[in-house]
Amino acid sequence: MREAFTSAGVLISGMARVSKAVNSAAGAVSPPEPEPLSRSDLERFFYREARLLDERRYMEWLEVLDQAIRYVLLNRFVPAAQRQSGDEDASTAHAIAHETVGIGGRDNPLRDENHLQLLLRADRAKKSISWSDNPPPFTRRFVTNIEWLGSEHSADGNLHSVRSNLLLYYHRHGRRDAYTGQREDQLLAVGDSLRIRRREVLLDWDVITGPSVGLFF
Amino acid sequence: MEQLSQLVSDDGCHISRRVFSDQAVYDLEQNQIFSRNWLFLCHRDQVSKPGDYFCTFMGETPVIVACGEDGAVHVSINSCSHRGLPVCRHDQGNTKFFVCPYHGWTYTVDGTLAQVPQRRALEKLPDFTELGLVAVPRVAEYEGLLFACLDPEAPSLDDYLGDMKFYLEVFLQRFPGGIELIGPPHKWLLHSNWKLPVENQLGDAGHAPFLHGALIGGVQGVKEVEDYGLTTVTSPGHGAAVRYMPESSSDEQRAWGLEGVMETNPLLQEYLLDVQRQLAERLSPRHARVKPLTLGVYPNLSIICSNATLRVAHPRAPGKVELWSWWVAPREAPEEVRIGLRKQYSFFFGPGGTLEQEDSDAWMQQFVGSRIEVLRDHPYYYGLGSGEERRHPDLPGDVGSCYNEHYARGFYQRWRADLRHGESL
Repeated sequence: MREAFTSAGVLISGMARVSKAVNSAAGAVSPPEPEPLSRSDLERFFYREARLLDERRYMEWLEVLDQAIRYVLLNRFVPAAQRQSGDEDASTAHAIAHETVGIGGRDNPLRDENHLQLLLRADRAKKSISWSDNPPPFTRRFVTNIEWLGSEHSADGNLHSVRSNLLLYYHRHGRRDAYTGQREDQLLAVGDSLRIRRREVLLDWDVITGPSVGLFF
Repeated sequence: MEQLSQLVSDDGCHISRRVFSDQAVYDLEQNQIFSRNWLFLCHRDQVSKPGDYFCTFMGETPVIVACGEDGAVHVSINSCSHRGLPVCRHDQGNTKFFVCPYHGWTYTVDGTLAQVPQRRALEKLPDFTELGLVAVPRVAEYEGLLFACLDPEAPSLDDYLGDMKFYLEVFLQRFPGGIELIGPPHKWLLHSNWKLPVENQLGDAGHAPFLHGALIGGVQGVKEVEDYGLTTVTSPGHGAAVRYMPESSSDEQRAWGLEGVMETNPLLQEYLLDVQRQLAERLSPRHARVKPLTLGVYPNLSIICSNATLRVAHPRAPGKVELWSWWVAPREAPEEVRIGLRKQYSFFFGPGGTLEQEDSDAWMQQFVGSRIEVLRDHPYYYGLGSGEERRHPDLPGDVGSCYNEHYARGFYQRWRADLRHGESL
């Protein structure tokens, strides 16, 4: 078994082992624990993905997405501090979760898209009359702080939860902008390759100052 | 600054580039536009319970909209009477008091000064009644939308909206349970002048097949706009772009939203059709034939009906505007319908929207063009369709073809009259 390289990952797989032991004690038969993804596997995947996007090879990028992808950009605002009940030392008062809104029917994420919508964006970007992409921006994506959080079996293969940070430099019309954010992905392992089944992006803005968040993060 | 008549010609057909780029013009707008007109704040839902508050801006003036212990809406300027700091530093929430961080002066949510901690070591106290947060004198509600005005002498909101209410009803009263604004609003800073997005959403159908050609080129909706689209102006500054469907048209052709539904979701389609079938009886046969595109309420509120979003443009500088937008959802629609409808907003508009990307690019580039000094005597041409607008047998206001720019001429004529306060149009 390759070594999980984050403490969170170790913690989660450790907890999974405990629960498996309990299950076997009760006589249940569980499938073998999925192996964690190695740092080099994840880096290879994310670096290639970033390069496809920076080289504007959007149609090739679509191939790293699972057909059932859900692609979400959370909205973020400035709430009043609020501690959860039972939290005596107020350590939850400034939890980031208070600053984001969900994706249910009474919520308003910045984007909540499926494969069709991502395809429409990719398809548009290459057209000569797509005026927000002609001329195209110069971009450079940097992916860091990769954490493997755990994995689970699904009907389609093993599903890995992975967190990473993204720095996206963007230059167009003489302006320079930098986007920073965190991505929380579910990556589906299919044979030797990975597909993005879900991506949830949290950008570090309440008032967005970049020219658009209609980009691929 | 030179004569206002050099900025906007009498007929509204020529608009100086400096209208969008001049600092002195911008400064004058703060006093003459944003301190005199009714401005949209938020929905009543956002401040429905005592202690609820929502922070926003009236022009550049920061205000707190709050529901007091009395259940009424109070709007106060967010600046301490002692040393001027904002007393509320969060976007929204619920509280009993606002406390200034500097010296601890404390106000109730309706703006009344409640506590000055320094009193402990002082013999005489100041008069608390004179030291509350400055209250915005006029607050009113229309269809759940809250507006306020800094001018105590302004006409009532009802008169201010006038016949524009017909077009607002078409969207705000469309759904049997009414609408709700889903937030917190999306907020983004655009490097452009505040009037450029506003002007666009008063009725600029002329850009859509071109700027947005990569997305909507050749689609049926464009032809429908050319066949049935109208620009209407009930009073200068307001504007509504609509399709007025023929009397013989079917519910399928008239139903709002169907043309933009991105998935063939039978539940969603049936919901929209059902709303349409009831409309002639619930509102009126005239309302039922209006398929709205965009609505604009002077000076800076826009509703993009076709994409279920409402937005306000907060000026920040001649070349900076902060846009805030909410998703407008039918209050009683089932969860699946709501999520389906939300794509019509966020895929196209808002800070991540595809059409918005193209619009933003155009508005930023127009601001760049507006700053070219050697073109200061070369105004923009706003004369398309001048004089072709007419009264309409069924619809209120002056009505022009879908590409008539009278909505913009009216806006800038009113804007000029406001800057030159007291001059009649």
